[in-house]
Amino acid sequence: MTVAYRLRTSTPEPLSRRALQQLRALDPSFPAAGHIQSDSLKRVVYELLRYCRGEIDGISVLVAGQRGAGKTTLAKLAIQDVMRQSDGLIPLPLMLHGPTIIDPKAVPDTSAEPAAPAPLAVAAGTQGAPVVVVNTAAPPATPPTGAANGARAAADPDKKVPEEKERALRLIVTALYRSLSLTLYEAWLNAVREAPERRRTERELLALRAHLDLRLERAPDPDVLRKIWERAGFLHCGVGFYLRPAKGANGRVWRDTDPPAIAGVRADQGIREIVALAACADAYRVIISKPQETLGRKQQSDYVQEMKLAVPQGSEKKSDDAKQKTPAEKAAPPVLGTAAGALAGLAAHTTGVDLSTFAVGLATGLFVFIGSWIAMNFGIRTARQEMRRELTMDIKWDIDRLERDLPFLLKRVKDAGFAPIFVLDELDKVASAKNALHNFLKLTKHIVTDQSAFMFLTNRDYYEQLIAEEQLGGSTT
Amino acid sequence: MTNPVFKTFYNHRIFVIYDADDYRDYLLEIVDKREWPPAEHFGLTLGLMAWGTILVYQARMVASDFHRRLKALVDADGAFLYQNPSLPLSRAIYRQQLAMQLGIEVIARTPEVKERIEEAPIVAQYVYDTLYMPSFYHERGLGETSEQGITTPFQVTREELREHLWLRSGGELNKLDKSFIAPATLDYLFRGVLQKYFELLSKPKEIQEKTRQYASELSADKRRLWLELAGHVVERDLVWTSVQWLPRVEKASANGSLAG
Repeated sequence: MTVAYRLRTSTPEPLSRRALQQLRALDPSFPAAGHIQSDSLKRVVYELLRYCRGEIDGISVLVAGQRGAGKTTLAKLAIQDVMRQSDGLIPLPLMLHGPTIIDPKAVPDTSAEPAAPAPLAVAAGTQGAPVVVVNTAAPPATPPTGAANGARAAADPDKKVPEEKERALRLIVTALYRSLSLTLYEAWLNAVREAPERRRTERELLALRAHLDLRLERAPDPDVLRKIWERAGFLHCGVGFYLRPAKGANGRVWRDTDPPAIAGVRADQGIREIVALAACADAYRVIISKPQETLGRKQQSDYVQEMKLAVPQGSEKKSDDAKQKTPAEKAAPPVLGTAAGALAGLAAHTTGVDLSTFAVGLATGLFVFIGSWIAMNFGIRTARQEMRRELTMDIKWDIDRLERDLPFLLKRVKDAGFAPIFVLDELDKVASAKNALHNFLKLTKHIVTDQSAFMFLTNRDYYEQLIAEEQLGGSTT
Repeated sequence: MTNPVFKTFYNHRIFVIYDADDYRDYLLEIVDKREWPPAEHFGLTLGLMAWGTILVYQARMVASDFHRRLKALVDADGAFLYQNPSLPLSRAIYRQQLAMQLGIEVIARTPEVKERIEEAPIVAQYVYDTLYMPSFYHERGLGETSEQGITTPFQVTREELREHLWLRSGGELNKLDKSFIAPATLDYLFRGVLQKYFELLSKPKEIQEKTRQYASELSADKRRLWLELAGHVVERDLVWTSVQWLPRVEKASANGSLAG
């Protein structure tokens, strides 16, 4: 029997590992089909392309539909299409689990007694085989909820960020750092193979890339990143735009790796990548640890001038660090003065002047000697001026700082050539999507709509409620 | 007043719902046509269109259900279990599903419905939920059968439609919030959509005619396919309907029948 109906080789899910690999390969034949197309998809793609070209700074899209209607696929497909088409910034997808970010019930209540640390799981081997010790992972740091937050707020009156916002900020910053790290790590692979500026062999650069991967786990300092970029030769050209899809024409395949004007120039692309990554790493440290940093700066200006009469210096220990003069040094000026006087008298004598003139010269010399000796041993002149300025800063690495810094982080990520697109998925799993979203939006509107792209994926009932409220005047909200 | 946060927050609101053509185009796209003999191209495409239409009906226009049913139709290598292109056009159950889906599309293409959908995309979901309501009755048989074995015809009322829409929207059983849909919208769906659909199902020739009218608006190659597809719509009545006036509520009654 001939097989007429057979599905083509399966198209990978949008934004899956395979799909991204195909999109970023130096091969322009990326399959564009294989997914259900619709006008809704085209509309989202159009708006996201405008965002990536910098025509709008922020965008917020509500994607609603029946369960199983394909909301997640549509959102991912839209981002993937923008990755393929964008001639501006490169989309940086950040998939966030909606219930965790906006639903307090999704977070375990930490107000209860803290759970005992999980014991080490020990599996004894048989017949004297080595014992396998599995160290269970430490539970992730969860943001405080309800009562715990209240108790902490009471303890820390400076605390300003409410619980919902804190939870959102933590997840947003974590996703931003993780996604940027991963994306740049992926970009390195293409740059290692294709960048004309690369300084080392491919094997060395791949080893350096692996080193980078490990360092990124620990939120590295800019110095570390700079060294890695510099060693590879990417400090100026950067790596980000090696993620652009390849183009092909007339049998030739190439990749446009020049940053678009909206991001910056090629000469400092690498520096901008480091700045973005280091800034996000800084913020990420607030989440994974409790960093403390003190910056100190000291300015000092001294001018000392002193003159006084005192007891002879030789009899007491001087506290100054100045070196004591030796007797020979002390005697030198008066001796020289006396010798000068004596020489003057001697000269007068040899030119025929009488002996009294010589005696006057000698006496003058002696007078100078005695005067100089007294001045050297008893006279001190002191004048002192002092100016000191000391500045110490305790850097506040707290959640308030995250809120202040998030707009700058987003700007730096855009400067590095990436357009963050946050996708809050599975909001239909939230117990009360409407109220939870309402609280979230109230607190984060300034961040969400002004600085970045957000896509909210909700069930149709949320959409229906919005419409109904608008029709009825929204009195139920 | 309307909450300004919600009103101004979303720059764009997208309601995800694909129409039947999106699904058919997708199916035609993902099937490998490179080995098709040119002489059989038309018949194979027609068969695939029929499969697409049937799958849309079975999935009730829900994307995940469409994929699930498609996967059930192919083997591990992606080959269709039924390779004969005439099968979906000849087997009774498939022909009936084909007719019912084409009937749904006839209603959804009427200018009045299209205008309402353009005005508010959520209406498309209400319309499709309403139009797929009889499919649930068809699955249940000829009517409500009592423990004594007496079968009485199904009765569809506004309240039942409201409850059906509530459940489709994700609402919980026995927790119906009557305000979730405006009474005027419900009335329109009951009279302007469901009742017309029942009338259409009781006269399948009209489905054929209206599908042929639609075909005349298409390009030549698509027209031929659509005319052929319309020709395979069953001609016997798919339902017997009667509208009864009840003392308190207006009630339409539908007697769903598969047996014919």
